[in-house]
Order: sequence, then C-alpha cells, then structure tokens
Amino acid sequence: MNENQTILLVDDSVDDLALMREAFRRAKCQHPLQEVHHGEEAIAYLKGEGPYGDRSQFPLPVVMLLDLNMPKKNGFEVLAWVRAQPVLKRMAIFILTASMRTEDVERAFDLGATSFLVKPLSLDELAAMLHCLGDWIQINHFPPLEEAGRNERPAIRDRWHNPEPQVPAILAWASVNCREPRGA
Amino acid sequence: MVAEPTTAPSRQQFRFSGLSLAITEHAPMPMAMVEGASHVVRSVNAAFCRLMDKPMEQIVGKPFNELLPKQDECRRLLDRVFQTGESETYLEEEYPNLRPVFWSYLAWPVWEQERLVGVVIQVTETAQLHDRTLAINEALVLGSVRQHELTEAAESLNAQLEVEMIERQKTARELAEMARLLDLSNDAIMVMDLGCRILYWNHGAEELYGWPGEEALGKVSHALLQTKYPTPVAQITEELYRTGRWAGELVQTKRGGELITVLARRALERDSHGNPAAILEHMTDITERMKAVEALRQAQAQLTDRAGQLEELVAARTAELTATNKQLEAFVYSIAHDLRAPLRAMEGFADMLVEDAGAALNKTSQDCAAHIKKSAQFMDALLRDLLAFSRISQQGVELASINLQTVVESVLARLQKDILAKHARVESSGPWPDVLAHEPTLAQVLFNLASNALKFVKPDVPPLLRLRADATGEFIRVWVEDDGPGIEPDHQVQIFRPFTRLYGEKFAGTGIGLAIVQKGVERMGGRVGVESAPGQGSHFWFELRKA
Repeated sequence: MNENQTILLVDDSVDDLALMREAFRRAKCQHPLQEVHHGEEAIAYLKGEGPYGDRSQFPLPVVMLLDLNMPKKNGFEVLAWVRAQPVLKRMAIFILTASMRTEDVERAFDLGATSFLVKPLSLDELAAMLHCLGDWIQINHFPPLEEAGRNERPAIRDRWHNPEPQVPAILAWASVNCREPRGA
Repeated sequence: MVAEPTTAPSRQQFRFSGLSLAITEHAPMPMAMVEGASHVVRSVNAAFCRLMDKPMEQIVGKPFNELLPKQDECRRLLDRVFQTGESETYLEEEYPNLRPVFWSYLAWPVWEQERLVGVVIQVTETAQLHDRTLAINEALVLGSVRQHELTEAAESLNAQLEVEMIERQKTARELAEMARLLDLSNDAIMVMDLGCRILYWNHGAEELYGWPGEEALGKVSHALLQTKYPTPVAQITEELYRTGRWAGELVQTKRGGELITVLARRALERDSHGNPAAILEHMTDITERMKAVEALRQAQAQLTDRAGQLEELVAARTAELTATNKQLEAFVYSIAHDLRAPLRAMEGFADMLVEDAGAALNKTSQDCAAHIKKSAQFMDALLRDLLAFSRISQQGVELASINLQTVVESVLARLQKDILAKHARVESSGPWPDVLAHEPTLAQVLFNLASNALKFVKPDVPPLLRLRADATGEFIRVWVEDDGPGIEPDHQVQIFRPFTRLYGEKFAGTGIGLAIVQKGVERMGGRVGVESAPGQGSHFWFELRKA
C-alpha cells in the first residue's frame, strides 16, 4: 500500500545517488525513487514548478532523503523552506549526509528534521539502513501534504488498514537515527 | 637658827652675834651653816628646812653634801670656800620634771678669830622665784630648736639647689655637646618652643632653608618658612600633645623663594613634671622624591594605558585567531568530508562489481575487489581519525567536573559488540572519582585505549581489558590495561606519534589512535604514559586533575 509512495532523493553526488539506488535494490525496497541534485531543484519539485507540475510523473514524496552539502541551496535551506510551508511542512524529511558534526545534527533538528542519518562507508550497511527506512514507512501514519479533495489519495485512507506495527522495525530505525554523531 | 649651847668645844669655837642670828633665822632664802672640813651642818634656818622638806633634827649634824643633788660638786664648792676663804657662787640646773630648776649656791666663809671655822651656804631655787624667766628660757630653747630646724631645712634646701644646679650645668653641657653633634647631621633639625618660635637651628637646617642660625632663632617657624600644612594646625597640635609625636609632609619655602616638600617629624619634649616644654622637629627634603613619585605615577598611568591598548590588541588578535581556527577547522573538515565521498564510491562499486560479475570473477579478481574495498575502508578510518585529531587539537576544551564512572560505562557499552565477539574479559573496578575533564574528549581517549586493548592481543588468548583508577595527590591516574604482546621500552615514546603502527599490518588501525589519546589528555591538562614489557601486556595510564 505505502509501497507506491515515492521517495525523493536530494543529493549532489552522482556516485552517492548510484550507490543509494543499489542499496535500495538490495534492501528490496519497492518505493519509486525520484532524484534531484541540489536544493533549488528540490524546492522546485516540491512546489510543482515547471516539469514537476505533472504530479502523475512527479508525485509528492512520502519521505525526502536530504543531503546537507549541496550547491544552490543546501539541505538546511531546503529543510527550512519546507517547514515554512503551510501544509507541506508536515513532510517526513530524513537528513542523509556524510557529516557527523554535532552542530549539524543540532541545527537539523532545530530546523525540524524528522531524522538524521549518516551515510555509512559500506554498501551493505547502507542497504540495511534503507531496509529499516522501508519498515518505518510501513508503520508510520502520514498526514496529507495538500489541501486535497477526499477522492485524491486513496492510498492514504488505506493506511488505516496497515498491518500491526512491527516492533523490530522501530528498534532498527532507532538504531540508525542520529541523535548524536557516530563515533563522537 | 637657834644657837644652843651644846657641847663645850662647839660653844667655844663659835660666836655669833645675836643680830646675825636673827637675820638668818627668818630669812626667806634657805641658809645653812656647816662647820669643819667635813662640812657638817651646824645650823639651818626655817627656809632651808622648807626647801629640804625635812625637819631640823634630820638635817642638823649631817654632812651637807648628802642633802643636795650633785654631791661632788657641792663638796668641791665647800672645800674651796673652806680652804680659800673666798666666797663663791655656784649655779646648777636640774631637770626633775622636765622643767629646768636652777639652784644657785652662795657660799661664804665664817671667820672665828681669824680662823675659818665654817661656811654659810645660801641656796636658792630660782625656779620658784623666776617663772617668767623660765618661760622666757623655754621660749628661747624652743626658739633655738625651731631655729635649728629651719637651719636644717635651709641647709637641706641649699643642698638640693646645689645638686640641681650641678645637674643643670651638666645638662647644659650635655645639651651643648648634643647640639654640636646635631650640627654634624646633614638633616635639618630644629627645636621650637610651644609657640613655634625657633630655639635651636642646626647646621643642616641652615643648609636646607638657606637661613643662617642668627636669622632663624627667635622667629616663628611657619612664618619664616611659609609652611603649608597638610591638615589643620589644630589637629597637628592635638596629635602632638596627645601622642608626643607627629609626622607629615609640609610644603615650605627656602630663603630664595624656591618651594620644597619636606617630611617633618616632630617630637614633644616634656619637662620633669610632664608638662610640654618644647618641640623637636626633624626635616628631610623629599622634593626630589616627590618628583620621582610623580614621575612614577605618570609612568604607571602610561603603562596602564599601554596595557589597556595591549589588552585590546590581544583581544582582537584572539578573536582573529579564533576565527582563523574555526576557518581551519571548517577547512580540515570539508577536505575530510570531500575525500570520503570517493571512498564510498570505491567501496560500493567494488562491491557491486563482485556481486554483478558473480561466478565470472575468479578468486584473484575477487581478491582484488576485496582489496579495493579494504583500502577504501582504511582510508575512511584514517580520515575519521584525522578529523578527530584535528578537532581535539583545535576545539575549545572547557574543563568541568566529570564522573569517570559514567564515561567508562558508556565506552564499554559502545564496545559491547566487539567485547562479545572477541569473548573478551572485562574488569572494571571502582572507585571512580570525579575528574576535571572535557567529556567528549575523555570519552574519545578512553574509547581509543579500550579498543586498543581489545585489538592488541596475544594469539589464541581472549583479550583482557582492565580499567581502574588511582588517586595520587591532586591527580587521578586512570589505568587501561591489556595482556597483549607488550611494547619494548625503546618504542614506548614513538607509539604516541601519529601514523605510527608498531606492528605494521599485523593489527588493524590507522596509527593515529594513541596520538589522539595523547593530544586529548594534554589538552585537558594531564599526562599520558605506558608501562609495558614484551610479553607482559601493556598498562596504559593517563592522569587528570581531581575535580
């Protein structure tokens, strides 16, 4: 049900995007993926500007995986922008960055990030992390992101019929969510 | 006196005219007639009996001198008269009752046909007759006593005066001597009376003020010297009279008009009765000193200004330095960050290569891919350690009281997976006192040392990790001990240098772990070291101040 939900990847590194795609594959994640390469593009996507106006092709994501260090508006700016939008501000935004700095973690949560994940070195670890993300998406209840008519997002209504929450999934998510930088 | 005819010889020898008998018989003066060499009383008159206070029968026939006091004198008197035939008067004093009584004896010879036969004695007690004389006598005696006393008093006074005179002369000589000595002094010394008139002016004062002695003596000092007092004169006088001393700075004018500052010390001289008599004043010219003090004050003010400027400069530089440090840190960080991205690619794509190729890759090729991954992992670890080292070297390390136990427990928790995987034995024993440290740095230090202990092991022996703390004086020494291969003494210093891997590739690691430990401990104000010998394990220690 939620597996149809798009995950939006925001990262300026082509390599990292490729590795993420591979990791999602290894994690057996079914969610469609969309990619943008910098902050301005991410905002345009969320606004539905230009080509992104076609929501059938570029739907609003259920989760945005947001890198921090990007040209043309970095992750913090995107985060701040989203949290300033009247309804869009509810979106689940997972920071996914190579940075482990405390100040970045603090700033991200101050600006309202949902979670802070640090890119691991190995592909396998990344896959495990994304598997966790998938489980979390399964169990989380998502708010509508638009002032939409009742007919528009049936999938969301269906989520009321989600299976029982899985405790291991929660624990797995908790283990990767960054409250503090790894390795101090 | 009754001349009775008695025995024949007496009657024949003595012949008195009836007239003389009548005279003597009723005379008011006591009279007695004695005869012979033994002066036996032949006859007495009534007055004599009254004087003796005895009846005639007891007197007549006795030797005369037995009757009266001063027997020997009496006898001598009688003998003289009897022998010389000349009359005599004898006066004697008596003090029967402390009042003088004067006896006067008149003795004249009795002739019988040109032969001396006896003596007539007339006794008079003048006290009975001359009270007034007595009183006068008394007065005279008293007067003479009084005069004696007065003389004595006068003499004693004289003696005192003489002594005083001598004393004064001595004092005057001494004073003159002292005055000569005072003149030798370079300092200005003067003596004033209570009205501040100058009584003494030494050579030093002449030199200091320019006024010769004769012009200064007798003048009022503060008028002559145009003295400006620091406090009201009344106050100074009060203190001087109360404590006997006063000291203070005066501004005075020399003869030529030049102003000088003088340190004046006064002492009050009292006379022998304790009353103020004179004032001794001792003056030191401190004009030069005051100038020096003023110059010093100005110099100090300048110095303070300069110090203020320097402080501002230092603050500005510190701010610059801090900014630079921050920039440096950001720079180092972004480099490390950017360098790690390709490593992810290396690792990830090598992995994908192996998976994708699957059976098509032979063992060698697979090993190559594994090698690529391993290198990427190593470089990643290196970069992470370098970042940690850089952060510890640069960041502000603020020390606070940290509970060692909490940090030890959290480090052990982080290593839990590793501990279990290696079946390591962990011994952690308290007490764990509080230390003055920076918590993240302390955690890093302990983590590095503990993970080393788990890593550097003897083959086929599960690792031992022992953690404990000692208190030595102001410091706490934390021990992280293993029973691994140990370290030779020669190498025990270099292992703390960056990029030093003593065992090369034998044990994993970047060679920066101990450098981080050393830098971290140093920045927290402590020291680090190791006790070890080959085959005996290694006991690493670091010291931090007691909180």
